[in-house]
Amino acid sequence: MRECHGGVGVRLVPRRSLALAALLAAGLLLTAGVAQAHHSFAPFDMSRSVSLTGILTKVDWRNPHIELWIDVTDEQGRVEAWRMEGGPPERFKRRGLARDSVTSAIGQTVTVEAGVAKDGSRHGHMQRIRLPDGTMTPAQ
Amino acid sequence: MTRRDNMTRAGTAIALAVLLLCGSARGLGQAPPDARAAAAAALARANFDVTAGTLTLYDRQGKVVRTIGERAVALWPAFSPDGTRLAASRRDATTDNTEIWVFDLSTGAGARITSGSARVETSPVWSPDGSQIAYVSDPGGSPGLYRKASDGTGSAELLYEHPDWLNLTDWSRDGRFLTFYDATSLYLLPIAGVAGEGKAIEVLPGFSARGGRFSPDGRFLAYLSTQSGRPEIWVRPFDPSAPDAVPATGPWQISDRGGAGMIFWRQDGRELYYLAADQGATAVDVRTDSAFTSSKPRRLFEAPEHISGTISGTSASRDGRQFLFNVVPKPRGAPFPWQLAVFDRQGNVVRALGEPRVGYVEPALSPDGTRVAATTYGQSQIEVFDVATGDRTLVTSSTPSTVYQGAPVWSPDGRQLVSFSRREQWSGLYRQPSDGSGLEELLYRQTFEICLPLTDWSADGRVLSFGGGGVLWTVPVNGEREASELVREEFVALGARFSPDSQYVAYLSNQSGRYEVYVQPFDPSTGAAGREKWQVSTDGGLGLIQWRGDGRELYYLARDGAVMALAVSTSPTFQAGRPSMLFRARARVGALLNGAMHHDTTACGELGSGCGQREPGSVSRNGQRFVFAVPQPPRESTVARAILQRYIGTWRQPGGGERLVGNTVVVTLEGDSLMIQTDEHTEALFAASEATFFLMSGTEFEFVSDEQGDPQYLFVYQGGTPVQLLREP
Repeated sequence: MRECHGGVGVRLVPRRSLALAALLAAGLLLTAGVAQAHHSFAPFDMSRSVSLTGILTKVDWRNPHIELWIDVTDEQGRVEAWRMEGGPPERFKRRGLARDSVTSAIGQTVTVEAGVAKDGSRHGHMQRIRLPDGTMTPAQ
Repeated sequence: MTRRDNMTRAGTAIALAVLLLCGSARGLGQAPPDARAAAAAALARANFDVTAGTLTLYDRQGKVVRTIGERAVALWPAFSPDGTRLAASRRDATTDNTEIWVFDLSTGAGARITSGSARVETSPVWSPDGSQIAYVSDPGGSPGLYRKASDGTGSAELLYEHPDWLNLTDWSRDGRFLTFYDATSLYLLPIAGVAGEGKAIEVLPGFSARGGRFSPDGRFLAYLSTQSGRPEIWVRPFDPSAPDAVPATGPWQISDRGGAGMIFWRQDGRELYYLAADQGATAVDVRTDSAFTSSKPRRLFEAPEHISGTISGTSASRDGRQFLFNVVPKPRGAPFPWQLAVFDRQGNVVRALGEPRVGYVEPALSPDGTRVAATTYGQSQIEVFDVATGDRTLVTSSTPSTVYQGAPVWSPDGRQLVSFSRREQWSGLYRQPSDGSGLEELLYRQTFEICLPLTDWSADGRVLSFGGGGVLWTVPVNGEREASELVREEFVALGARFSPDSQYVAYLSNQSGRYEVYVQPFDPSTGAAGREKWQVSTDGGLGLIQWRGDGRELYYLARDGAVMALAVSTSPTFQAGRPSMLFRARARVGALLNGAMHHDTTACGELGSGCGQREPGSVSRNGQRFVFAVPQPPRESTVARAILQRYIGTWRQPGGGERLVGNTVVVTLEGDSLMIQTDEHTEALFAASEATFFLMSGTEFEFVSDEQGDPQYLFVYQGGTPVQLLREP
C-alpha cells in the first residue's frame, strides 16, 4: 500500500507568505476547512533534488500515485532501472495532462527531478517531469 | 476558540494544498488601480472583522478584570517582570505590518517600540530586568531574533537568524538563554556568557514541541508537545551549564487531559499554569527545589471560547493572579452542530437521536436497525444510540495516542464494531464489542501515513473493506490479514459495500467524469473484484450506498440530495432496474452530500485529522429507515428572488486562486435557492440574511454590495480569514 496524498475539493487554503506563516504558526489563522493532509515524504530525501534522464519503459497510471519506470544509463554505461512515483492521476487530469501524453512517451527519453529514497534504492519521489516534446510539468 | 493545537499539521496540509492550486492570475491583476485599492480595502476590513481581538484580563476565578487597549489584531501578549507593562505585537491597519507595542497596565496607554519597517515584528519577550525586549522580525524577508530597549529607544540588535519562521516564547531569568520554536522543533539560544553564544540548540526535535518557558530557577523547561500522541504539557530538566545535554531524568507530563498552550510559571516556581484542551485555565502545584514534582491539575476557570491562539493569544502574570486572553469574535463559517435523525422511506423524521453537537458524522445503523453508531468528530470517539430510547453509550474513546478514530462498521450479528483509528505510529482497524464492554483488538494496521477509512463488513463475516488514495481494499477478518486490491484504477473509487450474498460490491467511481454508482462481481476468496462492471446510477451519486438485506434493492444518494432506490438481483447474475427517488431530502440534508464529495476525491484526509470517506448516512437492512447527521444552522431567512438574482454570476479569486482550491465559484439560482457550483459539485446555499448565506458544512458566503446595491465582492469564510472573490465581467 502507499501513503495517501492530499486531494481536491472546495476548500480555503491560507496564503503561504512569510508574514502569514507567522500568523499561522501563532495560531491566528485557523484552517477549519483545510484538513491536515498527511503526505509523507519520509522515505525520500526531499531536501536534495536530483535530475535523472533516461528511457521511459513503463507507466502505471493508477491511484494512489502514478508510477514511472525509467532506465538511466550511468557514466560507466550501466543501465539502472528507477521507479519514480508522482501524484494521483486525478491531479494530472485537472492540469490537462492526459495519461496518453505520458504513455506515448514509452521508449523515449524523459527527464525527472525527484527526491530519492533515503535507503539508497533506485526509487524516487518526482517533483517535475520533462516529456520528449520538451514539456515540463509538475509531477505531484 | 476552536482547537488550535493542530496548526503544525495544518501547515503541512497548507503546503500540500498549495501544490494543488491552479488557475491563472486574473481579476485584480487586470483591474484598474482604483478598483484594486477598493478591493484591497474591503478585504482588509473583512480581515479585521474576523481577526481583531480585545486583550482581556481575567482573575483566577475567571471574572473579567478589564480590557487593555483598543480592539486590534494583536498577538503574543507578555507581562513585564514587574507586572506594570504588557508587550504585544499588533498589526497596523494601514501598513499591514505587525509591530511591537508596550502598554502601561495602569493607564492602558500603549506605544509602539519597534520601527515598523519590517513586515513582521512579533512574539516579544522581556529581559529579566524589564529593560529590553527580544522579538522576532523579518527585515528583508529573513526571519531572526532581535532585541532593543523596552522603552523603544535605540536601535535593534540582531541576535540570531533562523532558516524558517520562528516564535520566541521566553527569556531565562538569568538572562543567558532565549527559547523559541519553529514548525517542528523547540530550541534554546545562548545569548550571554555561555559557550556557543548565538548558536541555536535544537533541544526538542519533532513532536511539534512549542511554547517553551523556563522555570524561575532556570532548572526546568515547560512546553507543549505531542510526544505522547496528542498535545500535552511537559516539563524537562534544563542545565544551563550544559544546555545541549540530554537530561538524565524526565520529561514529566503535567497535563492529564490534553494541553493547548498558555504555559507560565508563577514567579516563586511553586505553581504552573496552562490552557487545557478542554478550554480550562489550569493550575498545577510544582516543586523544583530538588527533584521535580507536580500535583494533579486543577481547573481554575473556563477560558473564553474564542481566542486568537492558545499560545500566541494568552498570558499569565508572574504572581499568578491574572490571566490574559486575546478575545476574538466567533469564527465565521465554522461548522454547525449536527443532529442525528432517523427518517422513514418518505423522508419524514421519525426520531432525533441525542442532542445536536458539532462533529457528529458517519452514522451507521446496526444490522437489526435498533442502534446507530456515530463518530464524534474532533473527540475521536464512537458512540452508539439506542433508536427506541435515544440512550447513548460511549463505545470507544480516544487513547492518549489517538489522532483520529471513526468510520464505524457493524459486524453482521451486530455484536461488534470495527473502526479505523490513526495513532502515534500507525493507522489501524480495531474491533470491540458494540455494547462498550471489553477491550479493543487490533485487526490490521499500516503506517501512520496510510488511510484506512472503513466502509463495510461483508455479511458472511469474512471480509472488511476500506478505501484510501482512490483505491478500494479488502482485508480478511480472520487468519492472515493481508490487504488485497479490490478496485484500483486511474479513477477514484470510494465507499465499497458488499451485496448480502457477498458476491458483488457496489461503490462510487468518477470514471465517467463525475461520481456514479457501479457494481462489480466480488470474489470473497481472493478479495478482488471481477471484470464486469455495471453503472447503476443515472445522474450521479454521492454516497450512502447500501444493499437491502435480501439483496433485492440498492440505495444511494444522488447528486441533488435525493435518496434513490433501485431494484436489483444478484442471482443468477447481476441485474439492475432504473433508480427512482424515495424522497428528496430537505436541502440541508441533501447538502450533507457536500460532505460525501468532500469525503474525498483522492480519499485521503481532506476533512480533518481522519482520512476522508465520511458517509453522510446509513440505511437499515429492511430499507425502511434512513439515518443522517443533519446540520443545524443557527438561523434561516427568506430572501426575495429579485435580490438573489443580483448574485448570479461567476466569481473568481484574484491573484491566481491562492486560497480557494478550484479558484472559481459559479452562483446560480434554482427556484428560490442560490446554488454554488465548483469544479466538484453543486450545492444549495441557505440564507441567513439578504447578503449572508451558508453551506451546510458551515462555510459562509457574504456578498458585499456598493451603494447602488450592485454586488462587488463575495467573501468566503471557513472558520478563519475570508477569501475575497470578484465577479467576472
